[in-house]
Amino acid sequence: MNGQQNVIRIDSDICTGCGRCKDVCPVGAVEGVQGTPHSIREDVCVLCGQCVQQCSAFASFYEQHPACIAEKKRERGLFVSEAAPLFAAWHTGDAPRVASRLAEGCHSMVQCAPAVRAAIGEEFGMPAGALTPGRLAAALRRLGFDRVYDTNFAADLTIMEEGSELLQRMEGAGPLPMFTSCCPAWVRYAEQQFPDLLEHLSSCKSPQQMAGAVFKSYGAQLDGVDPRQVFSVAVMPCTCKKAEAQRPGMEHDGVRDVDAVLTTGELAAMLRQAHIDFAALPDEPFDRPLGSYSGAGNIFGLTGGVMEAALRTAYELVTGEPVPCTELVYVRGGEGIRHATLTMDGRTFRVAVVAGLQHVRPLLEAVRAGTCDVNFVEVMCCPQGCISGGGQPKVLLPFQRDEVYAARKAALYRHDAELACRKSHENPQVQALYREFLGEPLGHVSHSLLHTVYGQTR
Amino acid sequence: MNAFIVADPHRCIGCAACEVACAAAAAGQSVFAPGGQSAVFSPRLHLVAEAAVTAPVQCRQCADAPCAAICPRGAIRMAEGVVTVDSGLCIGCKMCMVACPVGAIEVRGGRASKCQLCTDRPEGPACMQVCPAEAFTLVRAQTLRAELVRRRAAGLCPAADARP
Repeated sequence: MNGQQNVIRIDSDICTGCGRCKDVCPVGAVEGVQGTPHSIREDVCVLCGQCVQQCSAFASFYEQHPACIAEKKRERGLFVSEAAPLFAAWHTGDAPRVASRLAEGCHSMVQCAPAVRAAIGEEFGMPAGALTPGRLAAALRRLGFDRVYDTNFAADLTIMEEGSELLQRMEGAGPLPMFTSCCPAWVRYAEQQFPDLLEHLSSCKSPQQMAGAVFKSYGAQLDGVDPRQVFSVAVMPCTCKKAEAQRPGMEHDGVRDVDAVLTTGELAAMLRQAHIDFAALPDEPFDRPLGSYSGAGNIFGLTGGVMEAALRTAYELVTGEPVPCTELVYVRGGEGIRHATLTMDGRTFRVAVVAGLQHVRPLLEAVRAGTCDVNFVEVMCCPQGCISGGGQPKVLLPFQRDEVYAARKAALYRHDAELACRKSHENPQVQALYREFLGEPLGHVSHSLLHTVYGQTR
Repeated sequence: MNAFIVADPHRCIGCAACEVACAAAAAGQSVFAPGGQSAVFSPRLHLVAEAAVTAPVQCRQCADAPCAAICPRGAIRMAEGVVTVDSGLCIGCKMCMVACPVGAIEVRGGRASKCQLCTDRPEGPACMQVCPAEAFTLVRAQTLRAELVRRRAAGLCPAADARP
């Protein structure tokens, strides 16, 4: 476990042993006999939080003593004032800790993952699919963050680094297929189950970690502060991101890239605690330069999004011409696995998109057997990508799940289509970052800041 | 429309005899009999008590029961006009508790538990039988129709043809 805390847990006082978490777990990490409280095998769990999304067993107001409920809230890292029911499957919380650090008055920088802006409105009574990037930026500013930046910027940066790495590997500099490394649950799975294939994983840090690394180098330099003074917070639709931030190797010069990770639900709780009326906030922009983004960066929140963003840029880098159609609908996969091909400069480029970790094993077995002729694979653990992540607002009623996920998905594609800049390499602030600070993709500075080594965990 | 039991808060004296009787009926033994103290106390109705008013609340046997609609195992079904839990199928997931608009279903001992109108009891509903204030009424479709006719006749609500 690398000293990481166990982020996902099941409360045996509340669990009724219905077994639905066991059914939804993509890696078979939940154990237990029906009718008795279940438990999680920590060595197998990838911390995706799908069990947290699924669980409907909550502490009955008739059976639990209020003092016991308050104690459980403290143990879970929730505000005691939070009114939502306590479910049996839960993830550790960091909102009270972040709120007290902010109150102390540190130099804080926050980033926000793409999927958050397509879902947080649901926590405040807005319909599923309400798209709120402007309100989100305003809300983070009201909470007292000094710099309100965006993970989407780092998603664009990821495309620059990962795309260059892929092209380098295609020239023979590394094993193929190359797998994306943005989804930490997928990375954990690869480390736990397929350690012999880790060299196939891109060496790129995820956008969350890239953003953190840039906050505490370039960002600190821009603000004229010591990187050690920067409190770096990430708002994520994901529970595994909490563990990722604590991984070894996610630091530079002894400074952690990301100090705290909040889920979408936890950010909503912080806003309620601070009496900020999210729905009534005005639209405000994210701060520049590290909060500007392209449409390509924004669709990282969806299955197939990383692939689509990568292909928009790769096509232009390889052919020197703009991609004929920006919307590469053939990689917009749903649950399962999708294969596609793209011809660039007379060469056929084979890609695969995996949504749902339970679908990746056959592909990995093929790589092991040497029978996989794919060049690049995107893997997302959660069924529809990050929009359906374990830290998103809970969709309790099963029949609403497809509908809500479809609405969130449509919102992110709409946001992409509305932006003037839709390709990562055309993001002017990313270009400026390379010009002023990083030099070139895969260069010395980016190598030390933006890449890491993934290794066996057990 | 299904029959259901409803209590009149103006009559209810808050004694909770209904809860005791319900729990005893559900457990199949008297809690006052020898050894009865060890019986699981799981009443299928709950006395809601506030300073100004008390009233027991129990399942309304909804015709389009949301608990039955949401159940992932099909364990809640309509059986002769009563919304009934099949304990053998129930997995205790609590989705029915989330769906119930009345708060009248609970998961106890890993199984959903709700008022089933004491259909297995020859004397009828235990709560009605013991209530000293005669606060309970078994409402049937014809009871509601008769009440509607009475209220209209008394001018307490507009006649159907007078509605906008």
